[in-house]
Order: sequence, then C-alpha cells, then structure tokens
Amino acid sequence: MSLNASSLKGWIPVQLRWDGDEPRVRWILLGERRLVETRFERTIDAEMRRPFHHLFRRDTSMAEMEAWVEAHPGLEFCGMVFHLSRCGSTRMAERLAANEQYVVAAQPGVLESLLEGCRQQPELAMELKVRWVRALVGALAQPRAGGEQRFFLKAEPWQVHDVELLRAAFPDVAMLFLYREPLAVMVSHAAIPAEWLIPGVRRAARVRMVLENVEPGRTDLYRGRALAAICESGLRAAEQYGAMLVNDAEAPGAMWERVARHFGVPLADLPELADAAEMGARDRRVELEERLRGVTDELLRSVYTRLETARRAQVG
Amino acid sequence: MLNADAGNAAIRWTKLPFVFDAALLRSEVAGIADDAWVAHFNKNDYAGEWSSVSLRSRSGNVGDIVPMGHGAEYFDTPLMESCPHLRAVVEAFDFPKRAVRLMRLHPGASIKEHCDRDLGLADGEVRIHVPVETSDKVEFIVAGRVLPLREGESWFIDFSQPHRVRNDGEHHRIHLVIDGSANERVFELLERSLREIVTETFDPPGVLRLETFREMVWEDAELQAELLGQSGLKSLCEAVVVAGARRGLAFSVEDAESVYRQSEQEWKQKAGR
Repeated sequence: MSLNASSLKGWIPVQLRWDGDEPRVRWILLGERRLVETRFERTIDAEMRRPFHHLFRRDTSMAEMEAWVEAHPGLEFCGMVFHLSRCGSTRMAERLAANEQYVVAAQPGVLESLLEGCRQQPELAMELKVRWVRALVGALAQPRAGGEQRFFLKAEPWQVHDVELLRAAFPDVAMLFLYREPLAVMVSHAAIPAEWLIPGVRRAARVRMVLENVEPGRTDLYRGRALAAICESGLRAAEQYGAMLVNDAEAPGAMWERVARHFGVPLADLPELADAAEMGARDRRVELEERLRGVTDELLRSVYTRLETARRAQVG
Repeated sequence: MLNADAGNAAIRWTKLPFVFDAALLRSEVAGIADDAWVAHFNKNDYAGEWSSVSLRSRSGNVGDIVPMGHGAEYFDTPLMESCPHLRAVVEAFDFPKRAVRLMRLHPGASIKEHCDRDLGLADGEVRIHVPVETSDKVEFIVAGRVLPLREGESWFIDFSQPHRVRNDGEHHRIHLVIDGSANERVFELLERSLREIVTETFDPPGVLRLETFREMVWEDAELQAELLGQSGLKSLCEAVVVAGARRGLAFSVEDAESVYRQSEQEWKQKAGR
C-alpha cells in the first residue's frame, strides 16, 4: 500500500502489533481532538466508544509511519518527563497541558509497546530502534486541534530504564526526572497499589525485576527494589544524559522556574493550578509510615541521598 | 502420544481424506418426507429458514434436533436405519457419536456469526461436516476465512471459532453433521489430514470489497464525518453498506459486523495496557 502525503492527517497511532521482528502500527482517526486527559489512554478509550474506530482503523508499516512523519515533522518536542510515580508527575503534566498551545502525551500505551518490544529483541539494531521511536513520537506529536505548538511526553515510571534509547532518538530534547522522598512514595503505593508494581501483573523484567526472587507476601520488598531501580536509572539519566533532577518537595515557584527554563518555555505560559489535596486518611498514613520506614531506608535511602546530592549540584 | 493437550487442540479446520458419493446421499435425502424437517431452535442466530432432521438424537426421534448434554445418551433414529448410504458415512468415522443430523439452510437464509463455545476441540468435542447439497453461492466463513466445502467432501471444523453461513443460492444447502467425542483415532485422522491434504481457504469477497471501501474512507473527509457520527454498531454497519453500494462495492451488514468484532477483539487484547 502506498500512501499519499495527506492521508494520515488527523490519524493517531494507538497500537503496535508485533508480527515477527517488525511491528505494524494501528491508527485511529482522532480528527481535531486535542490530547487533554491526564492519560493518553483515557483520551483514546473514550474515543474508541465510537463504533467507527473499530471498523475504520488502519494499519501501516513502520516505514510508512516514518515516511509520513518525515514529511510532517509535527510540533516542537520540548520535553520528556521521567518520574518515580506518586511524586507529582500528573500535576506536572496537567500544568503543561493547561496551556492550549501545548500537547502532553502522557504514558501512551503504543510507546510502551514499542519500547517493550525493543527490549525483548536485543538483536535489533540501535539505529533501527532510534528511527522507530522518532517516527512514533513524531506521529503522536502532530497538530490536531489547530494552534498547538509544543509537545511534551510524560513517560511511564519504568521507561526511564530506556533513557539510552530515548536520548539517542532525541539528542536535543530536554529531559527531567521527577522524584519524591521515598517513604512517601512507598506509603502511597501501599495505600493504593499500582498494577505495574504487583509482582506478575506487568512483566517483571520491564521494571528490572526477576519474578523468581519475589518473596511471597513481601510486596513491599518488590516495590522498594523496583522503585530503587527507577531511581538509579533516574540518576543515570542525570549524570550521563543531561536530565534535570526535580524533587517534588522543592518550593513550587523556584521549581517551576527551573523546569520552564529547562524546557525552554516562558514561565508565564504555564497557568498555575489549584493545589492538589492530600490523599488518604492521616492515621492510615502514619501507620503505613511506621511499617515501611525500615524497608524504605534499606532499599531506597541511599539512592535518594545520591539523587539529592546530584540535584543540589545542578541547582548550584 | 496424540492428545488434546499436545497442540492438536489448535487445529482450526481441515478437509479429511474421505470423499463420499454425494449423488447417492442426495437420493436418500430426497426420500425424507418434507414434514419431517424441524425448524432450528435458536432463532436469534439466523435469518430465513433453517431446519434439521436427526439420524441420531437423545430421544431417538427424528424430530429431536437439540443436541444438548454431553453426558446424555444418544440413540439412532429410524432415519439411520432407512438411509444406509448416510449411515455408511457416519460409520466411516471412528469415534463415539452423539447427535447426527442433516442440517438444511434454505435459499436466502443465513446463520449469523457466533461461536459454539462448547464445541471446541480443546474441550474434546469434534464436529464433522459432509456437504450433501450445496453450491458456490453458499458462503461458509470460519474465523474470517471462506472454507470451500464441496459436495461429498468431509471436513473437521472447530466451531468454537466465530463462524457464519449464508445461502445465496436457489436451492437448499444440506450438510450431514456428525458430533462426537474426540478420541485417539480422531487426533490421528486430523494429524494425517493436515500432513497429507492441502486445505485451501479464501478471503470472503464481501470483506475484500469492504477493505476497498475502507481505503476510500481514509481519503474522504466527508465520508469520515458522516460515518463517525453513527453512534450505534447496527446503524454504522447499515450506513456503511449503503455507502459501499453507492460506490459499487457490495458487502453485507454481516461482513461489516464480522470485521468490526475482530477489530474490537484485537483492540481489547492490545499489549502493554
């Protein structure tokens, strides 16, 4: 199938289907809808309720997507947000997306399919993976509603492990790694478990874990180790790939000034949002803190201290 | 050892190495009194007329065409006795039989796409089809492929897969359908068939024309807007059939629904979510 230049206008990749070595891309017609929800998949899921999309989805090769993106470079890619989870990343995405000229793709499943597929096929050439990642992000970063100018990507927490590939794909795009005091993160995960940190739900290797080492009944150890691995990759992103480190506890004014400067956007372009409410009952939180302090100190304290040292050095 | 757990359960269909004399079978079927045929029981699943007689049933009656209850006993009906050629076909297959029926799809009738979840080979169920009377105007589609079942041939098909049938011909389509439990001999037969027989299948022509129509939709913003506005599956499929016909592309609502369902299934199974 050959594509003429106009034919993917308004379409967005939503799914990759690995068929042998090469993925095929599945697109739906998003039309002029801007990605506004705090999660990409929420926008797409809502859209998929229209029966049209199931009957008129379309599939292309990666090469066709590359050709399309090459002819239609899309919005300026201004920043990648990596994060530890439960650390204010959603609020950060919301604040970026609050500006109608900015588009945030938050945790798109189609990117995860690509990164996970690449991880599972180590024999794929780096050069090919780089082309694919560029093409997919370029296809996500197309203007849709009109008036959009800048594009941001909020990654999944574990995708910071793929920083080498993402940096190779986008050598000049600003990255940051957002984190938070680890006991608060552990408490949040204990109170409301995330599916990706339940052993066996997501492929353990994706979060750099080995399922065989999971001790029954010790989800806290699994979580602590997986989160520590994410922190280590965040630190690596800072030290080797130029990512800015951001602690959610920083004073918001100074923090956003740093973030805006790093992403090359005027601070005035980022409307302030109302403060997020503290989640969970206080008693429950205190109880969880007591229970998780030991394991957090053992698994996460050291890397957190190193992140903080590196961050202070960046702030200067 | 061959058994249901050793990968054989994934056999979706195969033509079998037995070919019967369809003319002899037809002459026997022609002798069955017209009032012996009983209209099919699940009226949600078909449009038009669809009727059966039993050669083997739970009650031993010709008119008992409901093949329920795997544990139940089955008995030959008087038809089995009076139709020696059909009986010889049944006996050619060496497995414990349950229901044995002649299934008759009338001209213009169709069976809507559905899965018979309790008829999977994985669950030890086997169903053999022997077309007695059919034509190239009959479309027999399993898992999105047209299976060319021709008179006198014998086929194994796993009906736990989505399947639909349509008789656009001018005559009845009549199949002898033999149900039973898969045993060692069945798996040996299927294995041998897969090795020795090439079972060709085809894209449904309506689905191919729908594919052409979809490519038109990709290029046509006006058509996109018109069809995007359809909020129900049925109204969308009907609008699509009309829009296709306007462009000289004939396909059915069933073709559209089938493509839709497969696509929706793939969406639900998408990885990484």
